[in-house]
Amino acid sequence: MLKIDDLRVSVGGKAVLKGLSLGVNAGEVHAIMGPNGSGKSTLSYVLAGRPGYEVTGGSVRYDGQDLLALAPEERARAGVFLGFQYPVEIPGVNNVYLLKAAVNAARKHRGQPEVDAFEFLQLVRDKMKLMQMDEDFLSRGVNEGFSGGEKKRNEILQMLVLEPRLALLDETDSGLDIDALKIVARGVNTLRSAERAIVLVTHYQRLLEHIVPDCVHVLAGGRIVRSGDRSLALELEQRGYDWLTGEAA
Amino acid sequence: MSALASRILAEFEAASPAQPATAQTVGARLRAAMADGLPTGRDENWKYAALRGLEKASFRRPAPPDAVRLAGAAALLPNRVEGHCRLVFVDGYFAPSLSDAGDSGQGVTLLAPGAAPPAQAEDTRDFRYATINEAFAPNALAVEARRDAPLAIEICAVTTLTADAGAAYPRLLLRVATEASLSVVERHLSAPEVTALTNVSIEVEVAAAGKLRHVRLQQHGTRAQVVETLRATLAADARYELTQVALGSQAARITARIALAGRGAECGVHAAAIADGARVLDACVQIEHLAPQTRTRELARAIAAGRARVAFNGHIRMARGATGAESEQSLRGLLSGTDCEIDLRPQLEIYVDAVKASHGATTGKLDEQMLFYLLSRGLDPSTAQALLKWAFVEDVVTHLADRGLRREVEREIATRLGDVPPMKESA
Repeated sequence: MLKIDDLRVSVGGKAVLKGLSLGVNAGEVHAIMGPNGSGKSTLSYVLAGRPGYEVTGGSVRYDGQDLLALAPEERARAGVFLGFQYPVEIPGVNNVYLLKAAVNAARKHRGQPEVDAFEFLQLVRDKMKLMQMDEDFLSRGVNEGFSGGEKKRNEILQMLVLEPRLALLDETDSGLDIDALKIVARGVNTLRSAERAIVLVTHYQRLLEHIVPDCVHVLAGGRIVRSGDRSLALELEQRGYDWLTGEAA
Repeated sequence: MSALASRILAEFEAASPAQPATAQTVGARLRAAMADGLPTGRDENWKYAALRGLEKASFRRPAPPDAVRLAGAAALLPNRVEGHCRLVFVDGYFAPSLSDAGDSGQGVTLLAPGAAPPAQAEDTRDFRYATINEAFAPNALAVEARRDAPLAIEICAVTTLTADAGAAYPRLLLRVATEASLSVVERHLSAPEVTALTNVSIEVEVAAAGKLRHVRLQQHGTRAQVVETLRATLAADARYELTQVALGSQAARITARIALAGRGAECGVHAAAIADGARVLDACVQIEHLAPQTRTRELARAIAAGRARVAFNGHIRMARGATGAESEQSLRGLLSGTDCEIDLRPQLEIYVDAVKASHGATTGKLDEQMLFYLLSRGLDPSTAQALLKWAFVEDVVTHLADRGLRREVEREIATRLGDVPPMKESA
């Protein structure tokens, strides 16, 4: 589904990703781990199409098409979802409005009619229950005044409603207490299916206790320096990243 | 005397033989004011106003509206505001055939020219246009809410004139008696071909513990010239909520002065201005804390696009007697383009200890992070931008208590911002 080949990216003239290659198949969950500053967030942003990230080499194919040639909104409509590490607050735009606009944008892209307002609300309410979110949240501004944990839950709620084919979750676990972490993990796990792929970008292993990945990759110095199964994450937990970043240098 | 002031005086005197005796005093006030001069771009409080259109405008009182002008005005009238009786003015003249005074009964009086001298006769240049309004207005509407008889009134002032046919002078006196409450929705409208000046004067008095909710919507056509003056005085524990949305005209200027004269008086000012093309919207709001424990909350949101300019000068003064006064001021501007301009001036003048005053003013472009967030959810760039602009003024629009009116204003703003469907309030 996703094939990244020798991807090179600069931010403000500084090379951050230096030849990153990664393949993700439908039905798989991949975890990308790495020390601070290794390029994890850059990878997420580049895949989602954030401006300011200059691709200087390599390619990214998504379902056979050139992902990098698509505008951010086209990627979203094609089923790519980025769960932000720091979701921005947008006072004045309410949550339910954004959710509906997002769903309808994707439906329009697929040639489907707009979603039925009543059914949509039912769907959102069901997903909110799963994420243990209060009803009043719907009429509040997007992420406005939310705690860090609420913002992350809101990201997962959006993901559940949008049902992306490729979900990129950027440090979705950071700032969560253990209960919130379990709720978020449950949300992510309900989305696992044979048609979807999930890429978890994380600094710590603890999220992977709740969302068990098929593959674990270590990103250091702008490249994947080691790939393995779940046991690699446990090894990182015990040994830290130094032994691998040493190899990358 | 400037050429403009001389011309205004000549236009007044040409018509004055037909005026009643009171014109003597009105005329005397106008002569004194014109001799002292009209504000220009060199006056600190007027430096952002677009005054050139006034040079070409006629200031004389127009003939009363005929059937054609009344029909033109009728075609512009929007949906009624629920629970409010409606009073319509066409080119400054009360138009009974378009009005429905309902049960407003004794609370509403139409006054003859000159019958309503200004309660506060400040002799500063900022209020010159109110003096001109007083001299030329064909009538004045006095609204008085009494205790145990709350009033809700919608006032539609429609201008139908071209610049050579005279100016429209809507003139309002709003009085709220002790412990009374009044809701006023004022709408100012004109068709796109209208080029005349509309010079509005509003005087507000809220007596002790009275409440006034005052909504002002400026939705003039794109070639109209607008000058407005609003003066308000609040007695002890009075509350005044002013929500103003300016969307139209070629050039509009409002000068407002709100005096918190009694202990515990409170005012909330919520102002939004949205300008595109070459429109200039300028507001100067002076709030005076004259008594202890007085409070102000002031919120201004400005959006400029194209070659437009929006200015908001928010001046808050806390006089010596205003112990324990509090003010909050938040001014924000959003530039949507490279050739537009926003000028926000928060000004605080404090002459007393033990007060609280906070203020903030920022102007910038659309937040890139917010924009990317919306794009990453699949929204079109144009929709995402319009939505963010929309959200920017929502702080102000949310103060429109009437749901139907809020929807209508939201729709109008949405149209101007580029077709965002109005936001549903909630699930």
